[in-house]
Amino acid sequence: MKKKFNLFQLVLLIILVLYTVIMFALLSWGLLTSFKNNSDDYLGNKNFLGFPAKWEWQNYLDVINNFGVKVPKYDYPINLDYQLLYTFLYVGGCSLLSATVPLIVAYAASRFKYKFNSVLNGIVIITMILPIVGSQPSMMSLLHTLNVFDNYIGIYLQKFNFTTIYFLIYTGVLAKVPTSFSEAAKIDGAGNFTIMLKVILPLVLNVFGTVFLIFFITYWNDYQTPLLYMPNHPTLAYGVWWMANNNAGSGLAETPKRIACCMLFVIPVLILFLIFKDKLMSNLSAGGVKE
Amino acid sequence: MIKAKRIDGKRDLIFYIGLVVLPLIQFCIFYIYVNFNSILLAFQDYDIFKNEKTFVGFVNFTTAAEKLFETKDFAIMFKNSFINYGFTLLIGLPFAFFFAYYVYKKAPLSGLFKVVLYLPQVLSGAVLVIIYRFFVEKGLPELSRIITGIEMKSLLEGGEREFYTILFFSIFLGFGTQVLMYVSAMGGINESVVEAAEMDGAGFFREMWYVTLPSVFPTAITFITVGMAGVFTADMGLFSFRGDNVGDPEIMNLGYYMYRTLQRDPYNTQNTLPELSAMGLIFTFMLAPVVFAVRYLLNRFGPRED
Repeated sequence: MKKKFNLFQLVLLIILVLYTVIMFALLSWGLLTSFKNNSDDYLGNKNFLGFPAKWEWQNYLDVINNFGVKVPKYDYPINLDYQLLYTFLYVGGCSLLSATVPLIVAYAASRFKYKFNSVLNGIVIITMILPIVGSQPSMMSLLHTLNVFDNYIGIYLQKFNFTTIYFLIYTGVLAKVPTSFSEAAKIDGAGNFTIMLKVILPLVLNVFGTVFLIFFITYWNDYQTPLLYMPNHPTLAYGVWWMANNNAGSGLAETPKRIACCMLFVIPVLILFLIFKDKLMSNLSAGGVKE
Repeated sequence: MIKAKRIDGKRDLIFYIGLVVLPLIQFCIFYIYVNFNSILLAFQDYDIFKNEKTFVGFVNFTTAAEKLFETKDFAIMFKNSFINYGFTLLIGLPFAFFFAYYVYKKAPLSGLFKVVLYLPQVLSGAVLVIIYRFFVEKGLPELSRIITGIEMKSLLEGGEREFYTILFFSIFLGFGTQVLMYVSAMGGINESVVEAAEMDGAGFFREMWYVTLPSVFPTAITFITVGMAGVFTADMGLFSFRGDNVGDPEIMNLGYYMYRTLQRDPYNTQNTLPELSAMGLIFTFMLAPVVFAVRYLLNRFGPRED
């Protein structure tokens, strides 16, 4: 039976079309502006909306050559190569820990029937709903006490936690894997570690991959955590934020160059998104991944 | 046979403990101790370099309370934080639900809209802020001049105008995660219930109201209560817009103030850590009963599947 297209649906369609147009218009404007010459075109001719008079690829080269961030500890700026290294350490390390630790604990909670599992579940639920405000000063104080402020050990220790919603997602997925798999492996002489690593976890690799991707994109874009806890190890996201809010000295004070910097920054995650968008936007629920 | 079972049981227990012990230690230190220490820190003066803490009673609470409840600037920041939450609750949440329903029903162009709604989660917030900021400062006045002939003032020159411009941006780009979570929840609705509704003549809207909304209401409760818990820590993207340079309280909110204060003084040279801890505790005592009460009321009286 053909469904009627009603007024409510039409209104939603119009709003969503408007939303899409605004989003693409903003991004297109940014892309076009990034190729404009600031003095001759953008500001000079007040060409704020049109196509570039001349496509200025030099803007992107200037970004790559001059993308430095001033940090409190050093007199010289931290350049792109170090920012890439810090980004790799922050994003890679934190994504791996944030995706893996809940998986390991969820494995324990779902594959072994101990009463303590209810405590683990309770901890996760309580940390999600309890509104504790202002623990950041205390966290800062702890990092100083442990002497891990402004280094990767401190950040990794913070991310080595299982109390995220992904624990619940993993638990749901792992609970659906039949126990007969583990039993058969045990009969064949496999130990617990082998069963976990070679029998059960490979079955949930797609969920782990999706969760890892979600965290990767989140940490790639996160500048506030490095800014607060690792102020002398700027990531690319920190660098983009710093560049946008600091005018002096870098040679990137012009609007087209700032936007060129932004465009360069989003390319890796945009590529990842286009390749993995089905996975990223899949139904990641407590029942598992549904396409 | 029994001995083999006992050995197996012991091995399983040791393995189980091995898996959970380190994350539990991390939880004890980085959640329980940190929050407990947050309470202690609120009663102390703290010298980071000498690692000395001095008990000072309620001094930090008095200072924090005086700032929060007796200064005009903080009254404005309170107002702004609540306005931000109010708009998120009354506009962001319903529209996220409507958009998710549209995607769930696979209505025309829903595939495209799903990608567009999720795009802000993928692209950096800082990047989108930069593009939006420069567009609003230069592009929008030019567009206004071309379309209407009127030279529009920049919407980011401080005051309430700038506040609402940033608020619009924050809500405009905040749909992605909510939409995905709602779509996930809608995917779990029993097909037979949907078919029964269709056979009874329920159209697009009636099905949404009587079948879909009750089914996904627990998800909405989570968003409402998590949003409420974050009312004093959400900064609305202001730090991305202006860095730590905002002086105008008309555009500030409490989340921005707390983050900026901490970021400016990570070594506690101005004793900000204890004062911020005291402030955080005041907010927790204000919020916790409200959050639990709202959660209880919504669970008790909200729409249900039965």
